[in-house]
Amino acid sequence: MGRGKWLLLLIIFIAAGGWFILGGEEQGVEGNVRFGRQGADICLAEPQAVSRVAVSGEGGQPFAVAVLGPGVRQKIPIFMNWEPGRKYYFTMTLADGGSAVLAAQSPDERLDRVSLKLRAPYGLSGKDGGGVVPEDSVLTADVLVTNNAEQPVEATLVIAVPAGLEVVAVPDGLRAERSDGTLLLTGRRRLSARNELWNEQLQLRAGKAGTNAVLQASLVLDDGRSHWRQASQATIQTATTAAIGGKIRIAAVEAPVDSIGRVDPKAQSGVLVYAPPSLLSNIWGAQTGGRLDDEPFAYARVTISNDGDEQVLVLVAGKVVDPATGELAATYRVPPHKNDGKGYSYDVAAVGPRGSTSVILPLYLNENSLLAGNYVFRAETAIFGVSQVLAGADRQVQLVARSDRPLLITLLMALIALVGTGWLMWRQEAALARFSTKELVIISLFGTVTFVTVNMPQTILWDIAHVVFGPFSFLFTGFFGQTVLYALIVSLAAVLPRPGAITLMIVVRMILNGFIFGHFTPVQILSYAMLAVCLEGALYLTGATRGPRKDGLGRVALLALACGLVDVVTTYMNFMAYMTLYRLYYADWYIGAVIAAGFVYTAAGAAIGCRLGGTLRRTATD
Amino acid sequence: MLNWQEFTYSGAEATAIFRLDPRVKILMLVITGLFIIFLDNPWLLAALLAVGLAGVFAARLTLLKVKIVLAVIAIGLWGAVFSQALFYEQMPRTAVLTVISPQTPLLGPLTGGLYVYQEGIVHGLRQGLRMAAMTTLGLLVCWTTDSRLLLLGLVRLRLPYSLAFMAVTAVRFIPILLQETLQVIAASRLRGGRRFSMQTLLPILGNCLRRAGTLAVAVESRAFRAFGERTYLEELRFNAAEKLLLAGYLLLVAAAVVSKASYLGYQYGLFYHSALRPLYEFARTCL
Repeated sequence: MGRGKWLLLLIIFIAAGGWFILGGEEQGVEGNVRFGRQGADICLAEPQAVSRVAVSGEGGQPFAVAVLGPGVRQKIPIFMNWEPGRKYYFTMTLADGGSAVLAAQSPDERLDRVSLKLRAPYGLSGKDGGGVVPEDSVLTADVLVTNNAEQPVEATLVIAVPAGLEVVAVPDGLRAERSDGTLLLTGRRRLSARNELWNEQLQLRAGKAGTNAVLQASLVLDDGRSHWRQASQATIQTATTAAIGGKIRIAAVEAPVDSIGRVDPKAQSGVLVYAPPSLLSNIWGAQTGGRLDDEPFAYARVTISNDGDEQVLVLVAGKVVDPATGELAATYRVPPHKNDGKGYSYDVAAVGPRGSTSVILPLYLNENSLLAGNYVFRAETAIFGVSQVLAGADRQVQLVARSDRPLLITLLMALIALVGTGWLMWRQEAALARFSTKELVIISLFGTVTFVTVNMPQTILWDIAHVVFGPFSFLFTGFFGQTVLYALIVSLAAVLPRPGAITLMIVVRMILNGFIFGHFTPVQILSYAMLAVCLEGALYLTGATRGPRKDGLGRVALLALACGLVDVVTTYMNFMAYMTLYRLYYADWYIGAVIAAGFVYTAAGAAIGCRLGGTLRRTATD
Repeated sequence: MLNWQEFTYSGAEATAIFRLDPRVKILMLVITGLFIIFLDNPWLLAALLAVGLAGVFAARLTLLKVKIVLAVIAIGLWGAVFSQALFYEQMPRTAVLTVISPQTPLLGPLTGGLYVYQEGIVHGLRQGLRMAAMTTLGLLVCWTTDSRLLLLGLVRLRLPYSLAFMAVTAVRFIPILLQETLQVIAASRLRGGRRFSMQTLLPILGNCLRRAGTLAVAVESRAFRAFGERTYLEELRFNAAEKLLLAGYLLLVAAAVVSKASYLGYQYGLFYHSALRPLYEFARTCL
């Protein structure tokens, strides 16, 4: 075989491989196809992101193509003319590049040339189109006539309203006449084209409880060649609200579920987790997904049971309320432009006799007024058209608002503390050998002075100040916590301008705090570690630990700024550590105020420390 | 005059808790510190505080120390309750008192209103238990262990010796520096000065620097840092009961921490396995 043929084979092999790897892989998408008068509906078992559907026959000849917009769908309508008793292939191109094929056989017979549907009360989906309604309530009867034939047809519609029902208003185009106690509403119309509709809606008032009224609709049709009739009827039963309501109950409430009511086995029942996209999630590749106030955040499934023998149309409302006040919780308030601005979700469901139905209600999250904690999801049912609540059920839902920022910062602090401790253990004496014995003693005595003048008053005063000054106690305690502390730190840096001296002083202070006050807590260890790292970095950068320097105004200002910034960083990190490890809450304004005051106290302390250190260097050192 | 000895290790060695190897106490304290941050169950937190208090009573500490422990717990709880009553950010929350009304000029718009929340008080109390338990256990360890032994324990746990020396020096000088601070303040007041000012620090630090030279000569003359290897008069050895206690506690805590960590991993969407659901349930309800 020549070189050219080998090359050709290689190209074919690569192309085939590329097609296999990159090409449209057929995926297992489950669903079925329902043929209707306007074409076919593809009903998928699970929502899918389908971008295109191509319909072909058994011989591969194309029938229809539908190009769909972005988003996931569970039901895809395809407008097409189908022939009875033939097999059709629906090839779906998925958004991820894959494809799926569903095959379906069309019905053996065409639909009626003209169809007639009577539904009363409108909304009920029983086989006879009837149902039970409360006495004296107003209901709607819906009559739908559809021309399924290609040729025009003359239709005469007669609706017979029996004595048990009262017509609230006669629709335009219908003539009313009474015959033997029955009101006959008659209308005539020409349905010229295929799929042309004739829809009439009647407002009826139900009679007294215990009456059964049979509403009838009949259609006389003439297409110029033949005459034929069609008829439909609905039995409307009337009962008291109590009688209907007594048989309706809420069997179960489940949250969270997905948009089609399935429970995620991974999710914790009754717990809704709000997780805005974060760096940590991105690092781990976890899918959090951004939320919009306009999109449902989660769904709740309410299952309603009907113990009666009649189909009932119920209105199901799902309200998330504040357990303390019982009022709608602002966090879960439905956007004002949805659900008629009621603030909660609702849906209508027809519950069959001796059966149950599940309603999926969307839950919205108002990110602007988000407050985590425990809420009550209150499901209420009412008979459609009657405001009285029939049954209610409460389900506690917990909203967990996951903010990764405190966790990430605490992890960073832990990492720094671990690295610092590891380095100290690894280098041990080598790191300390850089200091003479006298320098070690100086550092330890500075540590003692810091402990005596900062930690001791702070430990005692902090909580007492909290009692007296409340949330503004930091304005008072900052003198010891920041001014004196940084004055001592900067003065030590002036006396011993060497990297590591400040860290050793902080370690000594930490050990003393542990020995005397028993403060061997992880938060404090993290806090000391961060302070040591930040201070060493800042003082080195400003030159304070790179040998003796003359204290000019600019240098003092630079040191004050550097120390102030260190305090800003460490104070903020400490808050994050307390929030993560001790589950404490602090308002943003409070953290901001503490940081701002801390900056001022620290900068003042650093400036004082420069002066103090300079005096000590001149008067007390060799 | 402040009696420093009253406030530190008492020296009595009558009870078992005093005789425990300092390393056992330090390690158990560190392990508990890690364990306690994983706990959310208030009953477990209360149980840990109760263990600490039981230890305080079992150690037969002086009445002053018992009073100090109780005061520290009370102040700590009050601090947590106060802050959480104001800053509680969970639902439901019921405002029982308005501290700053949203209509208050300047502070109102800045804070958005500040209230005392009923549920925040309970939350503060629960979280305060965590801090109170750690503080009680920490004080118990400090007061039932000679600082010399505590440092020896830390050295045996690989704390650099020079650092241990610095810590010992610092501890020994606390009463002296306290005394000096009080003297400087008294002298300042005699001259019409304030109780405490930045000028107070200057003589204290000056004395420290002078003292450092003398102390360094003294310790170096006794061969401090002269040899690489350091020997100790006392050696620490774990006995069988201590080993068993430490291992058992470590295992118990490790199991609890692993359970809670796996649950947190699940909650944060980091790792989930359906087989671990009972573990998640246990961590959620019990820990």
